[in-house]
Amino acid sequence: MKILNRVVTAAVATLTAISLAGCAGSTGSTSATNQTDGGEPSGTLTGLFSSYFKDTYEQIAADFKKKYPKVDVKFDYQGGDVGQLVMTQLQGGTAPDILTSFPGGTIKDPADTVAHLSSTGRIAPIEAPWTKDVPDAWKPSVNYQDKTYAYPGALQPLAGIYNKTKLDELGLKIPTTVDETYQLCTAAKDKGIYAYALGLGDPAGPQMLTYAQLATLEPDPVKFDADMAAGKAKYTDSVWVKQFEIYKKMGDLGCFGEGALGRSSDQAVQEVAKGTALATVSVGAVLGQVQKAAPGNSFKVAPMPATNNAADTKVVALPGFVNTINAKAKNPTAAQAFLEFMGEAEPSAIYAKGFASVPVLPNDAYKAPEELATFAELIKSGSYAPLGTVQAEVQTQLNQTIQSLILGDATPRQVAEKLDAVYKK
Amino acid sequence: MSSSGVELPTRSGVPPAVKETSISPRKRRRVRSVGRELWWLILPGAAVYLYVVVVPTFQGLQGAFTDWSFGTVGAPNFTGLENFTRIFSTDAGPAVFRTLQLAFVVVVAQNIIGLALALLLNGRVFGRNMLRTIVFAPMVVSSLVVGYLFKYIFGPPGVGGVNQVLAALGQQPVDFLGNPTTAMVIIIVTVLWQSIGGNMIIYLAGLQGVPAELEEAAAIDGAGYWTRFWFVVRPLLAPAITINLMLGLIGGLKIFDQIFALTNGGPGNQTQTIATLIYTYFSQYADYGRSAALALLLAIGIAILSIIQFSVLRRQERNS
Amino acid sequence: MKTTGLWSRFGANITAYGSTLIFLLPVYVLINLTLRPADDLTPPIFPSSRPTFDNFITAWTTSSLPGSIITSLIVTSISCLVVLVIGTMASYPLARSTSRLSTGTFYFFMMGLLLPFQLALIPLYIQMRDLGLLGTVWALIIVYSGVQLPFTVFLITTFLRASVPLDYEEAAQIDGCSPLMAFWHVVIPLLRPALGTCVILNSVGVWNDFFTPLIYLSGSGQVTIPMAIYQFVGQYTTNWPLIFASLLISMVPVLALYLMFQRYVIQGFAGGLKG
Repeated sequence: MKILNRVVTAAVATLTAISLAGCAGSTGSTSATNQTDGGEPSGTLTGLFSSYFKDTYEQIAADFKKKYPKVDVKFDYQGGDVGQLVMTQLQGGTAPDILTSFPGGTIKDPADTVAHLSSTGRIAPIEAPWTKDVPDAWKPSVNYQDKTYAYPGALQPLAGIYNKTKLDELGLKIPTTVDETYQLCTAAKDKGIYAYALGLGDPAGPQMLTYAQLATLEPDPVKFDADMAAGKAKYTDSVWVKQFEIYKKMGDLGCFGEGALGRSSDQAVQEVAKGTALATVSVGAVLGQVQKAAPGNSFKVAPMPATNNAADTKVVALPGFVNTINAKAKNPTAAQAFLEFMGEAEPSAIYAKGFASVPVLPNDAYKAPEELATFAELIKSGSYAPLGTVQAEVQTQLNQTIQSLILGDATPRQVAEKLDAVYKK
Repeated sequence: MSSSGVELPTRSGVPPAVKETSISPRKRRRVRSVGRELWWLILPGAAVYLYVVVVPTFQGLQGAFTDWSFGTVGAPNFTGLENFTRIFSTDAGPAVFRTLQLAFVVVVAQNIIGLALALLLNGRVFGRNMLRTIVFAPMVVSSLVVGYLFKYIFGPPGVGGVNQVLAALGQQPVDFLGNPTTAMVIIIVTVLWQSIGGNMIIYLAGLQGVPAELEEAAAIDGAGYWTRFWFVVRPLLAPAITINLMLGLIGGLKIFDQIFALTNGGPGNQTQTIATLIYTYFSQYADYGRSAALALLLAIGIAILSIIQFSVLRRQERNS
Repeated sequence: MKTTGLWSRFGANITAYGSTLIFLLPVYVLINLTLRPADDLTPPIFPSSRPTFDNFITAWTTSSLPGSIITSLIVTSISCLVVLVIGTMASYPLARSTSRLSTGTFYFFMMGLLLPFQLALIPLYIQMRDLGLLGTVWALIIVYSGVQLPFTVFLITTFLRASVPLDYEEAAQIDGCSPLMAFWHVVIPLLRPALGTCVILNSVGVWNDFFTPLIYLSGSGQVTIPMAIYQFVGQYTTNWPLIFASLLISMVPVLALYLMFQRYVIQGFAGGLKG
């Protein structure tokens, strides 16, 4: 395969390339078969991951091969909507052994989430020693009926990312209460800039601030999810409305700057890097991007307060992707071995580093980089909150109606009503 | 390229001088049978079309009447018209109106600007082939990426290119994509930038059928530019207008990439069209039944509108 | 249109260049965005103070762009060839026969222009799986051959009806040609402008399509250009300068193709318009 590929790449004439690709393609589809004898993992192991983390997975795969030299690891990396691809492949029965899925989810909501995939028997439980180390707070994300179905990976903060250099220059401070947040907005406006550049124009941009503040507002997201599923709770009667009120007030105060609804996350990052905005509210992965855009400045990650008691404030930690095992995996032995391997200290540390986040499983081999040090401490001491589960349709409505809220077309209560209307019990 | 008709290749050795009128009806019938005799030529195409388009489409269409989703294990349940009622009780109403509005504006603007450019670049303009290429070039670019590019051009104050220019000129910034009305305008501008080249090419093709002598004669008769355009050129352009309007309508009702990249249906669902809703139902909600139901409605809608448009245009073509 | 006075010619030139300039502005912004380093935060409308080709180099070396160009060339050229062959074959009887069945079949093909692609997506994927073609370029070629067929049939049939007079075939038959030989030696050469138009429009569609190759090629190690470009799109962050740089690289072959066939595009449409 490899030699063929190199030949293909080198071929200049299209005609030669045509015949060679035909060969390469057909060998690719037949060589994927392998035998599993239940003992030492061997054969070909396939997997599908986001191309953004190719280097990280390749590194882990290389180490895995050192341990299990008989396994031939053939991972596939794709950009864009990997979830959509996994779903199509699962329906065609063509999905690889190891999948990229999303944590949590609900059984009723058809999506590539752990809860839905495991309840429909599409992914297999993981048999690895680390499954008993999954912290209680993360069990709803990766477990189903007391079995672990996903490698939880690493956590990143969902918080405010502040341009510390600019804040110091203007003599402003990172807020610790919601009133201070409002004050920061007004203060920034007086200096001719604005406080929070959000990706409100992106499909999944508006939800960031909501999730970042819900951690502080909602004491027990697991119970709320269960009550929602049982029909005992509603978004309209929940703290969500409170968050929408804060959102509205921040919008009215001009926290998000001019033309906020047309701004994409990338543009928001540029604004923070330039110092025309003081902060953005996003995931930790964005930190790397903003540092690259403004190498001379220092940036700080801080939780978004949602009440006036600074002690209430919790930082939201979320695992982005998780990895699961296809129930119809062609090589389940190797797949189990790989996920077991991923949960070991060394690979977990590599994984966390690649995702710019902190391992979920307790890990001695991991040393947090400076910008994540505070976050890692919070995770270790347990003062963080996982995110509750949001159904796909609720999430889409949430993003759209928050835009309506900022436009002034909807009240905080109406936003919650919209969410209730599309929730599947 | 001369502006007086298509040059016909004569390599086959057949003199193109044979006039249609010289063929008697009897001979003609025999020649027509040429097509009938070769009817089997259609088979490979029909087989591929049936296999790739028709069969899977009908399988997908069945889903419109079921609760088929990513969550379906085994066969989906028949739910009758539930998907349809659900679509119309939620988001489809305003989206239908918006889809029609968008298609209408795009088609009208495409044709006015496309025709104007064609007239301009059919005239004696220095380096007109280069200019034609430039106008056509956007058509070859991925429309999704074009959408993202225009997101930079019409970005918010401080980021967007146009707002930078406005700021440099001392003008007020404009919130292009954050305001539902202007966002719709930007979507239209983006679609136009990309598609007008195609319309222009079709009109240029149409203009090749306008004999220069005819126009010269009209000019000698003292007809002004607009008179000549209206009475000499326009009637001869009727087939080009028909094709442009037909393809424009079908394309206009299906516009997706640019909306998806620029606004994703926002802000606040206010640029959501049928095409973006089909995508949302399909990819975001994995609700294949609902997506199929809406897709079916869109296909029927396009079919009805294009049949109406086609018959109206054909009647006008015949009259002129 | 003849413009007589010197002034009006001057005016026409000014207007033509002015309006073309508007078409070029986004391209200028595109190039600007690709030429600036990551930490250059000047707005995209002004040229970067430190222009660099780094984005092009990174895009070329860190993605599968070089290999993807070959895959894209293979997929695009074979599927265009296939659709051209079967499309031309199918169009000929459709254009020449005036029977009800033939008209009906033509409209049946036209139906394909209306359908949103999501309808057939999953059933078609399963069909391809059953053929054992997933992960090969052949799945893509078959899919495109079917999807591009309606527009091709539309264009060639209208062209045949309007611009290829029966006289030629008739003359050929009198000379002793069989119907098939007449089709091959007489009709096909006359079709060249329409075929050129089809080549350009179909190849642009195939060249830029992202989702079809994503689901059919995934796992094969082969990628097409849009798949390579999308490798820079992440869950939370997206590297736009690299995307735009790859886009510019990927446009070169299509633009070259357009320049090659440009002559035919207008003729191809012109032929179809004579009805």
